[in-house]
Amino acid sequence: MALSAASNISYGKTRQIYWSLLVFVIYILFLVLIKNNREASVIASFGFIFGYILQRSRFCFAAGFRDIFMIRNTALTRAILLLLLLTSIGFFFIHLIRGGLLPNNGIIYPVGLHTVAGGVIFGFGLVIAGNCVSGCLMRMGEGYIMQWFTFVGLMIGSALGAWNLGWWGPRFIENSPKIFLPDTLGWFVTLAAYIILIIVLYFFLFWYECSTLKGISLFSFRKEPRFPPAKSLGQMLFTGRNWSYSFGAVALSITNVMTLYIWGKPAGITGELTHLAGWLSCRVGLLPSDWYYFEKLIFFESRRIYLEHPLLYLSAGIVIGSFFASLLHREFRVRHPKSAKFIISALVGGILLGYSSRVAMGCNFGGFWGGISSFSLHGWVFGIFIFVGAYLGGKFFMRYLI
Amino acid sequence: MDHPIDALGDICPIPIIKIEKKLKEAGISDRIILESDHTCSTSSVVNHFKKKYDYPTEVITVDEGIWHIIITKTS
Repeated sequence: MALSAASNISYGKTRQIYWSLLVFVIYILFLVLIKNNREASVIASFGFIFGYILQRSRFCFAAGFRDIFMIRNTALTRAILLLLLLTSIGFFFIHLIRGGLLPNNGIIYPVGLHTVAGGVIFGFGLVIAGNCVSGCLMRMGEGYIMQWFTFVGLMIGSALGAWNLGWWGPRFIENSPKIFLPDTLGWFVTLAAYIILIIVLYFFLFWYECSTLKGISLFSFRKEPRFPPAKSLGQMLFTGRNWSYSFGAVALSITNVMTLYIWGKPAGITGELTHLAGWLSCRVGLLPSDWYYFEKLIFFESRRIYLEHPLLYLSAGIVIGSFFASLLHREFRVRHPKSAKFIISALVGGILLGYSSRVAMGCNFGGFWGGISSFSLHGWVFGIFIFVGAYLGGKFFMRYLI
Repeated sequence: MDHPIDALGDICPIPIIKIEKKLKEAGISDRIILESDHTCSTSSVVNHFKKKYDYPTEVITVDEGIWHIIITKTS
């Protein structure tokens, strides 16, 4: 078998860097255009930064949940733990500085059986789709055809979930308590528990990964290679080198903490995607205003309808930020999936992700990351059951998709 | 001997699973050459094989958005 791509094309012929500048200029013009809507321009800027960081660090929540089972690698799971620790501490300080921002401005939702079910379906969906919700937006910007299908699935799934919540709502969500951990345990115990738990988990994963190897102990373990090693921070930020996962975790947590500080709430994705799906449902003649989510639960997230949801600028920003980053580093390419079954798995996975994030009331971004960092119990429960779902999804993946 | 793997359009973690399979067949000092258009591979594949097996791993950009990841089996 021959490797084809290298033969005919000489690298660097096209001018992606100039295109990236064009995208950047257009985006700045867009920000200037919406400057009267301060909220929108702030959020759009954060979205762009999120997209840039996700693309450069290849930070993939899905891999963090999945690789531990499928390839016995915990590098991204540990990066996610670092992300959670830093963001929680950051949120705590913002809470102190802004004088009691939590729990009202955090992401704290009822925790119950719906969180469990949502987590399992979400975990299964993310393995089938090959990405989580933030990864889907990031890869849409990088030119993956597959993730555009996932996005279509997300729209369908969110609409289904918003409608079907009428079943989940009265049975589970309305009877379930919202648990803000510092209210139950006190701030000191909560923070101490967070720090100890995350550090213990980190070393447990380290030990687990070492135990899958022969003759390597915890102490002889190498550091994560950053290839080729960057000599300075500037070099790492602006040259073609990949950021390390840990650096991505630090950058992402700083961005989310700044989002909480400036905008007043942590970032989330599926809430606004559901609003978008609701708007699209109106266009095709459905009546989403009768659906349980838009009738009742909407007040958990915002009081705005459909396209007024400010976080839509965040989602768009992530796609464009990642598009910009991949153009700037000459990595953009329209990427076709290898086989048609991946398109089906992307679509089905997207539907599962969209549906389950309605049921659990959040995705990996808002529900899991934002939830845990806002010291809500539902984030932890959701996260644990994403692992269960990812385990099942991994089995399915190995059996049918390879 | 070189073992090429075509992973264009494959989703994660298929490239890594393909390499693991190929590594079992390969002899000492054989090279695995993975052709991939998956941006995540440039981090995850290198991370995995450098760390897990300590194999020399190299990434070469062959085109915009296409990489060859070369892994040499040393043990």
